[in-house]
Amino acid sequence: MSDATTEISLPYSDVLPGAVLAIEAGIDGESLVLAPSKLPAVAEHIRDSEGYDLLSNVTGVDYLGYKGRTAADRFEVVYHLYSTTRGGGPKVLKARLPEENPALPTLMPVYPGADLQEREVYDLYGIRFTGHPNLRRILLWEGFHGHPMRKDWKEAYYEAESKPFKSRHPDGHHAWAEDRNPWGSNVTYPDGFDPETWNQPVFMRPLEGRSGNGASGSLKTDRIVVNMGPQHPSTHGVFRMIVELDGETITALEPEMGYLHRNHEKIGERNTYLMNMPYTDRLDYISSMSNNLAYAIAVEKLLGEAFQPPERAEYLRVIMAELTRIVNHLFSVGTFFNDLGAFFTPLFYAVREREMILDMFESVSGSRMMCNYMRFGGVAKDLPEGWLEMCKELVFERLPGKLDELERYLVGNEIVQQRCIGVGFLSAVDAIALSCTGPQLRGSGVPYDIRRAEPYSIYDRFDFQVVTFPGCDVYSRFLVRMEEMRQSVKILQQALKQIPEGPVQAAKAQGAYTVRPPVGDVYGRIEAPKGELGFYLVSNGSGNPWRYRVRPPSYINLNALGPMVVGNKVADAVIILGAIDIVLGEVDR
Amino acid sequence: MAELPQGAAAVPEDVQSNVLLTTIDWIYNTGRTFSLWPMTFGLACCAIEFIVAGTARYDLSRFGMEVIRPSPRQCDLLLVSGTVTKKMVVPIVRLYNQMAEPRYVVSMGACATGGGPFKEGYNVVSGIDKFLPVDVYVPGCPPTPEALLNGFIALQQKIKKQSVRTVPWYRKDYTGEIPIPVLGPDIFGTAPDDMKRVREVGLNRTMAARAAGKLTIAELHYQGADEYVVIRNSGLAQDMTGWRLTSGQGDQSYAFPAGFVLMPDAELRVHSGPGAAAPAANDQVWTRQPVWHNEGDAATILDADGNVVSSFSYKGS
Repeated sequence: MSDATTEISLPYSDVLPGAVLAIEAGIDGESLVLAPSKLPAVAEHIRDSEGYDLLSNVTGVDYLGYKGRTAADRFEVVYHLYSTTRGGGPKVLKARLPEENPALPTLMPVYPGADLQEREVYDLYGIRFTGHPNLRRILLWEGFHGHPMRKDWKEAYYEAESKPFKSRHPDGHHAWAEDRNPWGSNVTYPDGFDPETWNQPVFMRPLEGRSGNGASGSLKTDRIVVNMGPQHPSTHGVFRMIVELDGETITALEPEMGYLHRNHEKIGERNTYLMNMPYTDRLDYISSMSNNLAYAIAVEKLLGEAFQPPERAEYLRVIMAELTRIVNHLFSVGTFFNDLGAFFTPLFYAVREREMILDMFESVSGSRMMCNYMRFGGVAKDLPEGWLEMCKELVFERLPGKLDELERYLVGNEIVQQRCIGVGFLSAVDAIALSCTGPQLRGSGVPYDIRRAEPYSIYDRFDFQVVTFPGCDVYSRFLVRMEEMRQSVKILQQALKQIPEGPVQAAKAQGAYTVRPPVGDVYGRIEAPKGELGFYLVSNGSGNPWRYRVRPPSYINLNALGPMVVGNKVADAVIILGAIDIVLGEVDR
Repeated sequence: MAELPQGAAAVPEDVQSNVLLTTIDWIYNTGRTFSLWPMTFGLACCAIEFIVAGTARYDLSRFGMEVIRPSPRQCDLLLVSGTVTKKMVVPIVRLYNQMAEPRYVVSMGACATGGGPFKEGYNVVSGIDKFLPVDVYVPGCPPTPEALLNGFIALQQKIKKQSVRTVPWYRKDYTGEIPIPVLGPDIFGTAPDDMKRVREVGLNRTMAARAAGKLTIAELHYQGADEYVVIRNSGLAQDMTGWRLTSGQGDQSYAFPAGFVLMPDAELRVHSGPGAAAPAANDQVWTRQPVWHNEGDAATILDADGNVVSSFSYKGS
């Protein structure tokens, strides 16, 4: 990193003159402010000459009313690029856009993984990406009025105006905020909206015409469009796939999501930093501790040195995060076998130890699933008495045998291999280009694990392997999860032996209910069980985040769903989706 | 049977061990109570606890609920397990309508009951009971599997108290269809009251916007045999009696016909030149002589009092 003196010339001025407008120093290092029209050229140059091959995060920010911003640079689109070969920190690119008709060229030709994230920015901010092949709303529905993440969008159901009462019982009567702001009365409709003449726009993009003659050769077959979801047992929640079939073979697929879009990011902007912690539990609700950790790490980066957690807290965080990884992979493997047709029996075996871990979570945090355990600068509470002994027994005695058992039943099973090997092929190059992370990327043979590539917390102290399998198929992803559980056990064994006594929260952080981080933006990320979970936060110095963005791994891994599924049979689509391991709370937020 | 219902007739002794006397209600309720088939339908976090409630540790099967069916046609119990979004409530209502009676709804968790932590979100329905009749609410975020089992037992107790003669679904006038809400700019119901409210909100805003809008010269095509001026009304309906259109260079003036009204959002064309014709109902023919100079000109609309309403000038080719 170069020192931020004024005389240094702007980067890439030799190859791409005028592309970089300014350099901004920040917590994540320098970020480049680019001319929007030059963005794809700069990204291509950075990817090819510097090896930043993974487009991790794309997000929009609305700076309306932010200090120092005007209508000419109201919107900002932020890109975080990483290198899967070198590891290390991000390359941050920013493009600033005016209030009037904000648009910039799409990054899809350079990073195909920008697809879903750009659609999300368009949906929530109304920023257009010219050249994007399918720029439609993704979380909300076609016909929705306005772009809700904009700061000037009126929130229909937010009860701030009707809520602050001096007393819950003024004059002896209680009042409900709902009565003052009845459901459905505070809505904004476009001018002249008439419900009688309203036609709900069609959700689905008409699929392009293909030849009616399929793989069956001379036999003439019709193409049919089948809708799977949002109520479908295989979709792990409310996810919808619109598939076009030629016989049993899938010729096209369109994912449709947003059925669980519960406005996490908008709510996050009006909460204080600490109030968002329990909300992060509900992102990937299988692995709440990991979500807590990612958010705590991001905010601590913003808060600075005084909020660095003490030693014991770091160990507790690692222990919880790795237990969560086991919980998640057990559940993922169990439901994966549901999808394969082994209905519920493998899941019964898989969740038995999950229940034990959840009991330990409950005893430490008070809740089985929504733990809300981490705090800025540490964790909420120290362990209850006897917890470590219980955990040691589980980790040293029970889990290794359990994993052997699962492996004996599942991994070598002939039917499993027949169904899985070669299905859902995703090459390493494609996986990186499509911004895949986590087991999906490592199942394509790319040894990229943030615990190793950019170690956070105290992961640099532990001895573990980055698990990869070269098969590039569903079976490899399954094996990665099985093996990662062993590695998690290995980390846990080390952590449980080494954990020191001491405080569990930094001195300054104790009782800090409302933290006010300094002005700036930060991107903090961890290797969550499903992939790279990141939080992009913008602070304006107040107690609420200006922008609270979640980089959800399973949402972005869905970029690869279409490429993996097309050409397979319809029954395979179910297991390919199962092997991505999506959780809709995180996909739709 | 140890306990016979009250008022049961006496049974001869020799057939007592072969006969079981009870009421229709008892048989009916027992059958339904212990064969509640829930639908495989998870919404959010609570669905995970529902799955876990089905596994060995909690063992939902003990209560006659192990048959979890993906098809609404075969189910008795719709478990709303998680946050209901506006986008999702449409399929949920549709699923409910597809279920055969008797059917029950259990609202699981804070979100399905009242919106929960996401209540104030722009895409969140604050409680499924805004759309569906709910039988049992299970509190918690998420409720533990034990709490869910308790909710199911509460539902069973409720079912046991029902009677074939009074349940709504055997009445003659019963349809049970819930109107399916529509995803418009925001979600709205299709009941007459809802439609009225939506129309009022939408059209009132229109009236306000209309009052601010006005009549303007939108385009002026001065070339060719058929020259015409396009006048557009983005305001309220306008009676144009006594209004005039004037040209700046030639100082010509055209008076609109008496009683002519330009409706909101309507367009009017005033044609001139040798090829002038009036193809549409709103179109007017001014004169067969060319009016607009090719080197540049200005058009102005004056109202009945001679005030300038709108003007348009161009520089020519």
